Amino acid sequence: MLRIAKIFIFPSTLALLALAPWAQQPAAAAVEPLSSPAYKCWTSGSGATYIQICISKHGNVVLLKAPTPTGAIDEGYVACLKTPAGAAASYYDAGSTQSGWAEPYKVTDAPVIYRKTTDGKLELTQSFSRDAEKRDFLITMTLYNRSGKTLYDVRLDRYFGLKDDPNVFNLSPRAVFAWDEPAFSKFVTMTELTATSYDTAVHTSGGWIKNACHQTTEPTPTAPGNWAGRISHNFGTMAAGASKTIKVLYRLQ
Amino acid sequence: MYKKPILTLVAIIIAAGIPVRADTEFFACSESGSGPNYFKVCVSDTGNVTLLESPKGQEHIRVPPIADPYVQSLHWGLQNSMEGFHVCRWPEWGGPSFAYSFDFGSYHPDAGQRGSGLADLGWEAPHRIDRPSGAGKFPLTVYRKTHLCYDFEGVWPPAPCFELKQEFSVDTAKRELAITMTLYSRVKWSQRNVSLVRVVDLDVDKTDLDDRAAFTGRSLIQFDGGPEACGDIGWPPEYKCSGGRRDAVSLTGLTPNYRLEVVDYRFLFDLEQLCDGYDGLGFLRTDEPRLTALAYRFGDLPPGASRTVKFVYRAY
Repeated sequence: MLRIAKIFIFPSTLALLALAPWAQQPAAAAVEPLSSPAYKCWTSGSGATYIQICISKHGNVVLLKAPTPTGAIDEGYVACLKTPAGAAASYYDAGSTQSGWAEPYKVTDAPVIYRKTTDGKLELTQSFSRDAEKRDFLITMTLYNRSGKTLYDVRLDRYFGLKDDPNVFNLSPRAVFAWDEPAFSKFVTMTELTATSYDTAVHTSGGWIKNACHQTTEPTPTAPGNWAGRISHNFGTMAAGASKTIKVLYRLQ
Repeated sequence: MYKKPILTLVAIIIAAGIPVRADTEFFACSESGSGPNYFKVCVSDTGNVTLLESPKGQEHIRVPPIADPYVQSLHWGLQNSMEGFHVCRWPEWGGPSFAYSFDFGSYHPDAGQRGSGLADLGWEAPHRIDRPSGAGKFPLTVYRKTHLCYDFEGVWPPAPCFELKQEFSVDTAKRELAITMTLYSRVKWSQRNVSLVRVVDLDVDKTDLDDRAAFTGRSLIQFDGGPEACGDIGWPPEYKCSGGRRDAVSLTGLTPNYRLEVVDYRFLFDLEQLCDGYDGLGFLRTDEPRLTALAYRFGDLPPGASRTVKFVYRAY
């Protein structure tokens, strides 16, 4: 009896769901996070000058090595918004986990990576360039409002977390710093270069909320441990079709 | 027909030691951005960084000396407004003591050290300056020579020990000042244990006593202090720290070919240590005035040889 009921109820439920307005969009295929394998790597130098930086096809930095690796890295981005009706949404890709972003619909050799959110409200382009002599890696991100409506409280955060070595994290108003203590063998900085409204923060590895924007910071400098840092950009209100561009620079010093 | 008298006159002027030009503190400046992206840097005609301001209102080098006789005595009155260079070598009669040629700047009017022999020693005035983009602008290239060297036999005529070419360029987008330094040996014998050192007294956000510094093998990064670093060692209230996100400045050596040492001094400033090596490693939490330096160790420099290294200042 129960089995028969399931057969009858299930198709009718599907028919009702098909009438819902948000169901008119094609169903998004499952998107796997891409902390590995690396899609593109930049390598130069040898010995003490060796430097290697790799990104995934989603635009996550998946390897920083100069000359020793930083250890396991989760790196990526999260975008947040409110609709005119006040509904909040977030879309993130931290490398090892992700939600809300569709597979890139275009990736050029440069590379430039083009992605949209699965609900179609936002589009993100990411381009990358490396300066081997200065040991830095520039990420240019442009976020577009593709919703057809004005969006509010729009934010775009870039963040990274280091897991293997005990690292100290520190903040300036414009940058996040991480170094391995007590070895002092590597120093990673993430610096905002162009925006005017942004904030920096540090989180414990366990308390890092990857699908949230503008998370409150822990006190800095931290004790050696597993931490994550972020730069949170506040775009405010974005009209339909509007875009905002920011530049974030990683340095290996 | 007039060539000979003119040349003679030029020779007389040079022999009389008439300076090529007076010191100019803000010989080239770059100012860009606004708000958090503001970045201003100036370099003197002697090749010293005389101003590094970022963001607006936060100066990190051109800071007046601390008005505390005790602190000044510890630093020989030189601890502020210092940025420059130091070249070391074993003298002609051998080591292990070093002969020095340095110019540490000390351009701030309150410092009062310029020309005293404490802030600069052993360098002639610049004999050539290139500014291809025009007066007051970067890129800037400054050429200087040291005083004369003599070999063991006192061979005449003597030559400058070294010539130094310094090329300054600014990357406003990255808030960086790059300094490419080329050191030429101008004598006919091998100069021993040569070092080229970039020296700076960073006073991030106009203060020194609350700063902290971290080091790697090629960089020093100095932060304005946080609350943990302050308040318990009896400095006057104006040196207490306010905590939160604090500005930072770094100096990095970009050249991999030569041995690079990061040198840190707390309280004492030792010309000899700048030359023979003293690694200051670690994250220094103490509230002490400090001087920091990056030293390239070249070893022996054959006759006529040159070495090129690159440094970069960054504001965060």
